[in-house]
Amino acid sequence: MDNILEVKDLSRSFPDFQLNKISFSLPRGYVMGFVGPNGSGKTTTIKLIMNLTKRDSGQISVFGLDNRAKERDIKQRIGFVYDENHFYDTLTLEEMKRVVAPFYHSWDEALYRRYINEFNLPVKKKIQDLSRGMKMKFSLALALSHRAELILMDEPTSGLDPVFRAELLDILQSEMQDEKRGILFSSHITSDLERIADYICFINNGQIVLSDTRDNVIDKYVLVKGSRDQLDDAVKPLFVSIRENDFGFEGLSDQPGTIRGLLGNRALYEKPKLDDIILYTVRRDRHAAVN
Amino acid sequence: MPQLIKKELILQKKMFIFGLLYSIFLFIVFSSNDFRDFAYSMAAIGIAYITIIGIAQSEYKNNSDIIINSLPTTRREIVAAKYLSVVTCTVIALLIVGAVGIPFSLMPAPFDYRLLNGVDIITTIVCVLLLAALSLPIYFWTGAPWIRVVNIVIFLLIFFAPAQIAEFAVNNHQSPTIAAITQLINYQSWQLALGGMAVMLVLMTVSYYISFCIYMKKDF
Repeated sequence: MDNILEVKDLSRSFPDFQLNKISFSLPRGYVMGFVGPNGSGKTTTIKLIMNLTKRDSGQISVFGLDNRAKERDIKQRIGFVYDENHFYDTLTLEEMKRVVAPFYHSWDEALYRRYINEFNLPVKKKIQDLSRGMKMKFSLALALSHRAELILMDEPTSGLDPVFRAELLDILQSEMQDEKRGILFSSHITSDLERIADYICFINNGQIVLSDTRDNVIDKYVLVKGSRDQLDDAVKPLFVSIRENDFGFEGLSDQPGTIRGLLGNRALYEKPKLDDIILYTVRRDRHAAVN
Repeated sequence: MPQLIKKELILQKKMFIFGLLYSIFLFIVFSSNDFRDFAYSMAAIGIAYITIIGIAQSEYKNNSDIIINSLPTTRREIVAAKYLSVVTCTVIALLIVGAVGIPFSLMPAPFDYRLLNGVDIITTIVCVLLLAALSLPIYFWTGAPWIRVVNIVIFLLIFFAPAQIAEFAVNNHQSPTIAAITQLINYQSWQLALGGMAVMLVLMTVSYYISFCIYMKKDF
């Protein structure tokens, strides 16, 4: 499969955080949900891909090219949407477009106008007067108007109301009908990722916990509910982590076959949501760190 | 590179409207003042200074380095464009004060200013380049807030240092160093200005190299 993005053994140390030899790849034509709690390394990874931050070691290949050696060529083909507004907020949308557009060889003015109309963006308004949702849409319009093949989105839906979020996801879904594109979509709002992501890459504490297709990720785990007396020494190690209360337990296991064999129909089994997988994995890692 | 210069011009545009009003104000204030000979230079330096600082603060406020560095360009070009934009900014500031000076030159006293001349142009260029050469490495290192501190220090030096230096020179007029400097001052003003320009170009080159080294290592 043709990978539009490949990250291999990428590391970067900061005084209070370390991104530790992370590896993942995104095939062309798919959306990857880059998920993890706040401070897990999502933004750092995106900044490393964009060469906004220097790496200590590892490789980043975009369109099969090294992201540092061919930085300018690669960035011609990348669209970006960041979580915060970094545009000059005293400029109008039209002025900001005039700043950005000349950088791209394949800028399509007609396409830009189409997005501006489609997204109902007021081109004469200053950026500082736009809502967060409008700024996101403007950012997306700029990213799409130069026919970017890879779109990097860092928490684009955080802070948006459900209507705006749904609208943004609809736009992305329609854009992905062109199978030449790839989208890396970082978020901690897992419902968004469940809706549009083909692949899930889960990062925690600067390490990749899993990176696979969404269906494989969901199928890999099972959510188990039962009574506390079922939690003996043979069963407990099969869980990623367990929540116990007076009425029983609920736990996530990454060994569905084995646990079903041991507990049989004495327990309830559910397909976990991405939220469950993240919650139980983060809890395990925190527990391990404390001990 | 041209795209980055264009970006600077778009950002500077609104500042120049302010610059136009500022230079008119300055011409009126200085009309019956001992400083009237310096009105052109002071207005042009003021416009260029306000514009450069205004853009730096706007970029710092929005952390716009992230956007600019995400565009298909290189850090080398970003630094070079910033230095070139100082030059474009100075040229536009001179055009503004030159244009404002024309109607003033036709007015009756005390508003009858002479036209912009070569010394005004060179004095402005030397002063703006000096400010830029000292403050841009600080900007690339720490961001806009420290630029203001550096520029305030430079301004204070410009205003207070000459009196102190003159007093020192009078008290030590027999010193060979002071005698050599006095001899230098006796050169024609255009010779001094051209010498100043040459020094500034060297200073700008060193400043650019320092800024480039700082920016290449920077994380955003």
